[in-house]
Amino acid sequence: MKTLKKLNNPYLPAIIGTVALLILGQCLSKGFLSMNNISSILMTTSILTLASIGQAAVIISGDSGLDMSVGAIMSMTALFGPMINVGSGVASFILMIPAVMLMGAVVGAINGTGVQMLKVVPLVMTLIMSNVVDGFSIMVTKGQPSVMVGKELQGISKTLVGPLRILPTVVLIVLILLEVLFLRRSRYGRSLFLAGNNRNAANLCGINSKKIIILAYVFGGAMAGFAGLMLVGYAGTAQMNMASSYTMLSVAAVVIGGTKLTGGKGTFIGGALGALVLVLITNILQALNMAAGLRSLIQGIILIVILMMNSRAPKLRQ
Amino acid sequence: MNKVKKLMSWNAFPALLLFVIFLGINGVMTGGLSVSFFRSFISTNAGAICVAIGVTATILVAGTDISLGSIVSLVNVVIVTAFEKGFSVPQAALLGLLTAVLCGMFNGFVVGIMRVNPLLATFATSIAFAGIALWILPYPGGYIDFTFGDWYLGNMFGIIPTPVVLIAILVLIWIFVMKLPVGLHIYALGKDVKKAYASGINVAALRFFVHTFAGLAAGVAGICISANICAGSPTVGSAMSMNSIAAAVIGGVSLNGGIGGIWSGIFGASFLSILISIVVSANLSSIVQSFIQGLILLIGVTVSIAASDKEIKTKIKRAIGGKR
Amino acid sequence: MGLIFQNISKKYGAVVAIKHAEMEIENGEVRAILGGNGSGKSTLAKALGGLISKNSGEIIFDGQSIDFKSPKEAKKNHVIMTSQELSLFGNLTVEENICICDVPLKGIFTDKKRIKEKSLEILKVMKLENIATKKVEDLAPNQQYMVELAKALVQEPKLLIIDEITSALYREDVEIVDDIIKDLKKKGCMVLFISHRMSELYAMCDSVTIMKNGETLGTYPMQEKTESELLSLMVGSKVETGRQHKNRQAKSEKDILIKAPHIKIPSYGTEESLEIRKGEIIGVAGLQGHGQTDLVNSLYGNLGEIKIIIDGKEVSIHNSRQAVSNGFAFISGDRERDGTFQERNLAENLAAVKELVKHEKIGDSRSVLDSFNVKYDNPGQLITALSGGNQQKVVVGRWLSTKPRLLLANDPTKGIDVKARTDLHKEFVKLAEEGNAVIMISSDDDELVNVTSMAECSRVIVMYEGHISAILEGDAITRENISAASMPIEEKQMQA
Repeated sequence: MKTLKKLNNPYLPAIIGTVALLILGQCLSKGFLSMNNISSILMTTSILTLASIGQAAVIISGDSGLDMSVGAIMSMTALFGPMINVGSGVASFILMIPAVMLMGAVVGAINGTGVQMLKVVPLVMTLIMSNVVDGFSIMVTKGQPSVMVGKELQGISKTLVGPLRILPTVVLIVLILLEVLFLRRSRYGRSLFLAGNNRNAANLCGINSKKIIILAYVFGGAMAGFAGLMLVGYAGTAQMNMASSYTMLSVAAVVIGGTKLTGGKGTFIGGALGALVLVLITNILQALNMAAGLRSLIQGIILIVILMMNSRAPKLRQ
Repeated sequence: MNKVKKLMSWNAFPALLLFVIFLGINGVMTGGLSVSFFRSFISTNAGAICVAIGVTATILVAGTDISLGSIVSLVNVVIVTAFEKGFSVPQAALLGLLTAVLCGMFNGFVVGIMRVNPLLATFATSIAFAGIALWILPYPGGYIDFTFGDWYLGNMFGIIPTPVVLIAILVLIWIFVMKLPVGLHIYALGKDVKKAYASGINVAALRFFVHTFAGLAAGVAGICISANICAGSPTVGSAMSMNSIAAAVIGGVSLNGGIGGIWSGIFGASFLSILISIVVSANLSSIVQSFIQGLILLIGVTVSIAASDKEIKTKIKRAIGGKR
Repeated sequence: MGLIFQNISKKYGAVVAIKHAEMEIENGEVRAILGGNGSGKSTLAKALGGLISKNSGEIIFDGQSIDFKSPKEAKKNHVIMTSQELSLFGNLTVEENICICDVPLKGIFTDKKRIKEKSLEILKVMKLENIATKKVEDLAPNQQYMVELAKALVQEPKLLIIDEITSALYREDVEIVDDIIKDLKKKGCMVLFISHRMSELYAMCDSVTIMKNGETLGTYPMQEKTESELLSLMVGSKVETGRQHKNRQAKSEKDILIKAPHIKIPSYGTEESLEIRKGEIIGVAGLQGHGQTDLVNSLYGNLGEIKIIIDGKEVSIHNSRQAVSNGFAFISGDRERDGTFQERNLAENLAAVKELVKHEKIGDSRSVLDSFNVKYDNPGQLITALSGGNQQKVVVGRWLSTKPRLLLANDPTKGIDVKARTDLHKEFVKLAEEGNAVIMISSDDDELVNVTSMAECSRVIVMYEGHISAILEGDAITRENISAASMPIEEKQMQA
């Protein structure tokens, strides 16, 4: 009975999906399970995981919370992050991380304020902010970004820890630390669950839901900012809107990971597993050398199927 | 007096007022309002207005549809490809329309019958639809016979511009639906699904219908845009989904469902379109334009939501009253 | 003829909601269904109304076996269910709401004229003609409930199921409902009446079926059983209603805990003052919506800043956090909205205030749950797995574990069975006896009389149109006195 209960956990679809996709990938193309390919899958997964951690926090915060500006923030920090130069390469790199997180946090703070103070629906508020952020990026770079990615920043994908590159290792540690110490144990994390589940009741308990939820958006923005820097470090070059697809990928990752869109419930680890599934799908399709359009069609169909299996609303008639 | 009050409390009224004001501003900036300006305005923006009509319908039942932009792209691609494969222009246009309705029905199936959250469902279908468009026509190109453009820029029934007729067809369909009991049911469903079900309303069928209608609206939008540019582009509609939702909100449709109406979508979209055309005609460099457009959306939406919020309203009233 | 249930069972996943329910009702009979929370009354009603499916058994209605697949199908057969949570649409007008289940047609179009006529016809009976074109969200709660009933009546029920509709009606409204039900009886309509309010059941129903743990225990003619007999059947053991008649003294010399000179009642734009003594239970009575809710919300700082004097020191409170840190607690009867965190487990629900706001350790959640007599499997289970009464006990436990000085309770026992109710009352009394104070609103006057009789020191304040119209102390706390003070205008008219 107990093992049954354990099996019936929210991660299950993502885990089954991962295994199935790994097998499928190996069947369809020979080099799929090579160290090199796995390593690059893990790199992309790590970046998406960072974004999905922020997204998960926002979705957990409830009130139909959603951050559609993730992609725009990532694109922005991918453009602006590498511009930071204080002489020494290492110092610049160390400065970049808090700087991009701050940039993201500022956007998140605007999102949060709009959602909580002005009561704009999260979907709309963050979608529009993504427009504003994109516009801002174009304005500042004059539409022609010229970004030099320093070798320290590129190092995140070049440095090896054992057989793995450094970023996935760091992200895995960050993920587990955030999940356990931040989301589940900390006073903030627990309050976030309560405020996201039933705002009214949380307020009556003396929890400042507004502040808690705004902070979730700030956290989401900061994580996206960090993810953007990692993305540019991995890619080596920056373009306009290079991360726009990450917005919906992060939402999809969180949903596949078993987090409810109604808020008050969810995990970061689930989002990471969801991210892995999504990256695997993309990777398999790329390995098959499919036309971009067909690839996107198949991605869409797979996503629809996952949604139909995984996140259907309960029947009205029980 | 009563009628004036009624007009003032109409939830599409602020958007209508803003549209008229900014139409005036635009007139001043470009040296007077002219029939030809109106004609070119409506033919450029009829697509946006149609999509806003479609998305408004889905928001009214507390759903949403972010795949309409992709459907517009797909319709454009289908029309161009069909024409190049030897279909006549009307045949190609009808084929496009049919594609859009099918896409809408598919959305309706996933949302209504499979009960997937509409935002996620239409996000997924939008990837699929955009994928099909890109698959059929990987790069912008192709052309459509200019008779299509001439028909679109011309008049129907002698004096009415074709785009206006196309919009009017959607409006008439919607008004017809509103006169049926289903009209009441749509507003009821928007307010509360469980209650709607308990009141004997067929929830799945209603959602299916609304998404199909949205698909049809996107199809008409696709025809408008294809005729206006007479060329093919697989990403022509990509920005429309989001702008249409913003338009509906600015027009006074509540994203929680059950409040607003089709005119909200129409005037919201018209207002946004005139604003954008002002930004464009203000000769700002194109680098700044997208930032400013974003800011306009942000301000428009926050203000219109804040203005319809009772709590914030009383706070503002109190603040003003306090100063006096 | 009539309605026969045979062997009805319903499971939600592994949870059995009803098992082997049996019942027979004749045409023109008004049947009460009585049972504690989680006894399966509402499930039975929903199964009948086509809202949920049943797992086994047969329902025979008018001689035919029926199995409605949807509420729509039930409505076609004139089986109508109304309940507070499932009826009205705030964004539509009253007349639209009344007719939405069966919209009158002219050709294929909605016939607006008929909608108006049809709803006015029924609203006239209820003396509510003037609200026909108002939006439902603008109505007072009691009017909404009347519209709900109107919506059911317009569908010409042969079987009407009323699930807890009367719990917020004015006394005058109850009379109208009574008349309407008598009229339905004459037409041969069957009525199933689910309510916790004994006095109404006695007034309106012919017979009563008792349910417990999903089973029907038996049916009795209403007048044959006394209230306490019914209650003990329901609970399965003798219930002491809690009347212990301690020495009721008006101990005004007791120490004052809190002075609140300016309590704002925004609904009426009035202000009231209150002195709360240590060890006191203050019951708040009055007709629904006469400022009782505002009174407690105001004290808790929910309605803007309030200045009060605690232990001689002036404090200002303008949000819940400050209220909590001053030792206040707030329990609402609307559990789902104001109390429980439904996606979270018992331990988290319990610790919400103590650990997250007061930053104290709650310790072992099991022992806390046990000390409040909560029935549960383990602290890790979701709160929604418990019955309503037990959920409310968890919420009460959340607050009482913080050792509050002043407990504000807004109809805390709404929709809770008698046993759980008495348990909560005992907790409140215990809290007061430790030198703290309790202010409790109840829509049930009997409950207030009961609670206050259990405490050593107590008062009942009665509110009318935003003012305290009477303060009753000691032996003056009776049902009659509360009723009289709730409607002072009628008295004046009688005198005139």
